[in-house]
Amino acid sequence: MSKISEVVQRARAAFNSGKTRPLQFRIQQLEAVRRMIKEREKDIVGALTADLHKNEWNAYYEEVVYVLEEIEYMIKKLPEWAVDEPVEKTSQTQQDECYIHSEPLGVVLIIGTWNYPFTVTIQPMVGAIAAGNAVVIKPSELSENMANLLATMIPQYLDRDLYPVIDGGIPETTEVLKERFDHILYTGNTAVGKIIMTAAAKHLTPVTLGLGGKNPCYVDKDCDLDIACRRIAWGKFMNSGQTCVAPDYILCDPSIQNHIVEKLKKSLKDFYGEDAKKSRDYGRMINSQHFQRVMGLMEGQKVAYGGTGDAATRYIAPTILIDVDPQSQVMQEEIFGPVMPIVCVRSLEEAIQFISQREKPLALYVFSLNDKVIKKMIAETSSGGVTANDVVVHTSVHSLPYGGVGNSGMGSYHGKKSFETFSHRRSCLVRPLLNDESLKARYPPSLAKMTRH
Amino acid sequence: MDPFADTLRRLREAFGSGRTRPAEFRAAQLKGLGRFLRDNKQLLQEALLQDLHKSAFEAEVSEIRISQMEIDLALRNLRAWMKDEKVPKNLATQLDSAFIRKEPFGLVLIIAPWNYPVNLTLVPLVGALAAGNCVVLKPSEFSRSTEKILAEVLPRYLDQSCFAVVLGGPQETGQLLEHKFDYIFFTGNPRVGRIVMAAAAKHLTPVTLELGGKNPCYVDDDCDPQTVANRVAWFRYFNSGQTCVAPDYVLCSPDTQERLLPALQRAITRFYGEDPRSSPSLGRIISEKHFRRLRGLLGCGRVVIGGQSDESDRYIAPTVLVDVQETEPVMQEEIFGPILPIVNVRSLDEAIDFINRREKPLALYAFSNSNQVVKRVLAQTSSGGFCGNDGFMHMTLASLPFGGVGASGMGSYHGKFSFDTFSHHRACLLRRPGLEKIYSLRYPPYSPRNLRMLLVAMEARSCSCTLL
Repeated sequence: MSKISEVVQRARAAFNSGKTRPLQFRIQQLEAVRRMIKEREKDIVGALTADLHKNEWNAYYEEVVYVLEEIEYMIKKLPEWAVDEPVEKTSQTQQDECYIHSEPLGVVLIIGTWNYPFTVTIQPMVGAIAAGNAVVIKPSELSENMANLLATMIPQYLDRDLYPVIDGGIPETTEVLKERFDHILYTGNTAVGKIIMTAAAKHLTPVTLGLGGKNPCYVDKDCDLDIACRRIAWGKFMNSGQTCVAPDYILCDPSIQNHIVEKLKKSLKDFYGEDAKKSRDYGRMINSQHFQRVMGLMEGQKVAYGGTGDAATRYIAPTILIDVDPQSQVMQEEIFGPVMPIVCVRSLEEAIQFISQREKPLALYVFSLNDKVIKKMIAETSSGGVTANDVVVHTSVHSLPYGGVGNSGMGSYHGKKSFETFSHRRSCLVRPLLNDESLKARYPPSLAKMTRH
Repeated sequence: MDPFADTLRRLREAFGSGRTRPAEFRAAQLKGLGRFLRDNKQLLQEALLQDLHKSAFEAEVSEIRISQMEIDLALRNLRAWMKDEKVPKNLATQLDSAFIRKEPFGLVLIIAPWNYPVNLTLVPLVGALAAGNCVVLKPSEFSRSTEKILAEVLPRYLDQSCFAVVLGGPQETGQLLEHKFDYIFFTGNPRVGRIVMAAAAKHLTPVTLELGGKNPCYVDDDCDPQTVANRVAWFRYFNSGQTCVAPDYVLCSPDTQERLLPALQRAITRFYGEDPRSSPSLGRIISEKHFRRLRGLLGCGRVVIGGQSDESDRYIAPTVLVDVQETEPVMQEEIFGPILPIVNVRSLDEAIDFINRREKPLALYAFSNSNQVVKRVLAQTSSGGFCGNDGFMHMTLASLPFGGVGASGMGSYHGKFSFDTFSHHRACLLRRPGLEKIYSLRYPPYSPRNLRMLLVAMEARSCSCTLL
C-alpha cells in the first residue's frame, strides 16, 4: 500500500473509532487550531511573505482573520447546529418523533490552492472538523512555503491520525484522488475541477468545487465614482489581483471611462505610492509562469496606467487597460493578476447581455446609486454571489453561503453552510411499536377500501 | 446526427428569454401538472397495472396521491419559497441588505426510473418547475405504458417551449448526457449513477443522485413479532419489493427468527390470501431480465415461505429465506423484489457491526419496544434515512429531506428541499456608498496602528471581518 493510502486508511480508522463524535472533542480540535494560529502567527506570516509577498497586515486581514472568526463562530454555534432538528409532522405522524439528525460524512479531502493558501485550506478544514469528520488536507504545492509549514505545524496541534497533511504536487494529488472519500472540497480552476469531479464519480463522492471565472464589475453612470473606484481598486489589486472574487473587468459607459481611470489611479497611488514596487503592501505573482501569462495579456492593449513588470521579482505594476476589445485574450480567461481591463458598453441592457452571454462567474459587482439598476442587474444575470456598491465583501458574511454556479463551481461553505456541506442530514422517524390496529387501514387486501372512480 | 440538439437549444433559448421566471408562469405549470393527474388518473392507473400489476390502492397511495400532494404543497408555498431569504448580519453589515436569492439553474435533466414511474418522475419535476427551470424529462423505457403517457399526454399540460420528453434506452441516454445541462437529477442504481456523475463532470454540472442499497432491518428480541411482521411484510412486498427504500434483509437472533417466521406467514396470508398469485394487491416484476435475476436468488439459503415463481406473468411469491450466508448473491446485491432474507446475529453489537461493514444504505430500520435500542442503532450507523418501528414512513413527510449518502446517493428532495435542490442559492450583499470613513481602515498603506485597531476591534466579539 502506498504511503498516501496508509495515511487515508489511518484517518478512516480514526474516524471509525468514533472519537470525533462528541462535540467536546471537535471543539477541542477547533481550539487547537486557534491556538496554533495565535502561537505560530510569525511562521504563518513568514510563509505568506515568502510565497506571495504578503506582509503582516495582509496575512492577518486577508487570511487569518477569516479563519479565526470562523472558528469562534463555529465553537459558539456547534451545540445548536449539531442538535436534532424537529420537523413539521403530518396527521398520521403526530405521535411520532420526526427530525433531521446531522451526522459526519466520514473522511473529507480538502484540496487547497495557492492564492490565499492559509484560508482556502484551513477555513473549510475548520468546517469539516466541526461537522465531526476526519480531514485529509492537500495544500497547493505552488505556495510551497505554506505547504511545508502546514505539513509540520498541523500535526503539532491537531490529532495526527484524523487530520493528516499530504504534501506534494500533481503526482501526489493524482494518487490521493484514487482513494475513496466521503466528500471532496476543491478550490482552484475549472479544468482541474472537472478532473476532480470525474475522479469523485468513481466512488460516488459528493464534491464542493470553488472555481473561478471572470467576475464582471459594472459601474453605472449614476454612482459616486470616488468611492466606487476606491473600493474596486482595493478588491482588484489586493494580493496582486490573485483573488478568485476580485473584480476581473469593468463595464462602463464610454463617457465615464476616463473618470474611472483617473480615480482608480488616485486610489492606487494612495494605497501603494507612485511606485507600487516599493510598497510593502503590494503583492507579487506566485510564479514565473503566471507572471509571463499575465504580462502576455497586456500585449496589444491600450495601457492607461502601469503596464510594466519585473520578471526577477515577479512584480507586475497595477495596470489599467482601456477600450478593451471583448475578443482579445485578456477578456477570454480569468486574469488573476493586477490588470484591470475596461470594456465600454452603452447601456445597462448591453452590460447585462454581455455578462449573460458568458460563463456564470463566481462573483458579480454592480455600482450604482439607483436601486432599480442594481435590482435589474441582479435579476437578469447569475453568479455565485453578488456585492452591490462594493467588492469581495459578500464572502465575509458568515450567514451567506460562499460558492459558485455553472463553470464557477458547485456547492458552498462558510459558517453554518460548512457544517451542512460536511454533514449528512439524515431523516428520522421513530414511532412506538404499538398495537398495529391503528395502522390496519393501510394493509391489503385493499379492494374493499378503494372506491371506484 | 444529434437527435437532441434542436430540443435542447429551443429550451435554452426559452430559459434565456426569462419565460420561466415569473411566479405566475411556474404556478401555471404546476396547475397543469395537477390537471394532468386528475384528468388522466384512470389512464395512469391502467398503465401502472400494465407495467407493474400495481393495484389501484398502491397506485393511489404511492404514486398519484403523493404526486398530487407535492404539487399542492408547491403551489401553496411557491411565492414564499421564491422570496429572497434574509440572513443575519454582523456589526459591519448592519446597514446593508444581506440575503440569499433563489435562482433557477437553467436547463434541468430528470432521468426517472420504472418502479414508481409516476411519483419518481413527477415529484422531481414539481421541484424543477417550481424553481423556474426548463426541463428535459427522460422517463424509464422499462415502464412502457407509463412512458407512453408521459411522452404523449403530459406535454399537453405544460408549456412545451420549456419542457420536453425524450425517449430511449441506454444508448440514447448516453447521447443525451453528452450535452450540457445546468442540473441533472437521476434516480436509479449506483452503477448508472457513476456514469451519470462522470458525464456531468465534463460540464461541471451539479447532480442529485437517488440511488439504492441493501436497506437493513434490525429486529430486536424485545418486540411483538406480529406487529413487526405486519410492518416489515407490508413494506417489503409493496410493489412486489421493487422499492428503493424497502427493507432488504432482516437481522435478528435465531430466537426472534423463530417467532417472526409464523408471524410473517400470517401477515402474508392476511395481505395476499392463500394464493398470492391471484391477489390483486400483489404486483409483478417489471421485466424478464429482473424476473430471472430474482428467480436466481430464490436458490440462496433455504426457502421457508413462498418461493414460487412463474415466468409467464413475471410472478414471484412473497418469499422469506433463512440460513443465508453473507457471501451468497442475495446478500451481495440490492434485491429489489419480494424476497426477504433473514440473517442471524447474536447481539445488537453484531448487527451494528454487520451494517457498518457494508455500504451506507438509502434507508435503515430498527424494530424494538426499547427506545434505547432504536436510538442506539440510529446513533451507531449511517443511512440516507431512518425509521424506528416502521417501514418507509419517513418518506411520507415532505418536511423530511429524502436522499441517500455514500453509495446510496447524494443530495435530497421532497417539499421545499426539492425547490432548494433545483435552485442556485446566490449570496447577495447590497451596500451603500456611505460609511466610507469606517471602511477606509481596510485600505493600504498598512501600518502597525491600523493592525492594532483591527485586533482591538476583533477582541470586541461580534465585530467580525469588521471593517470590510
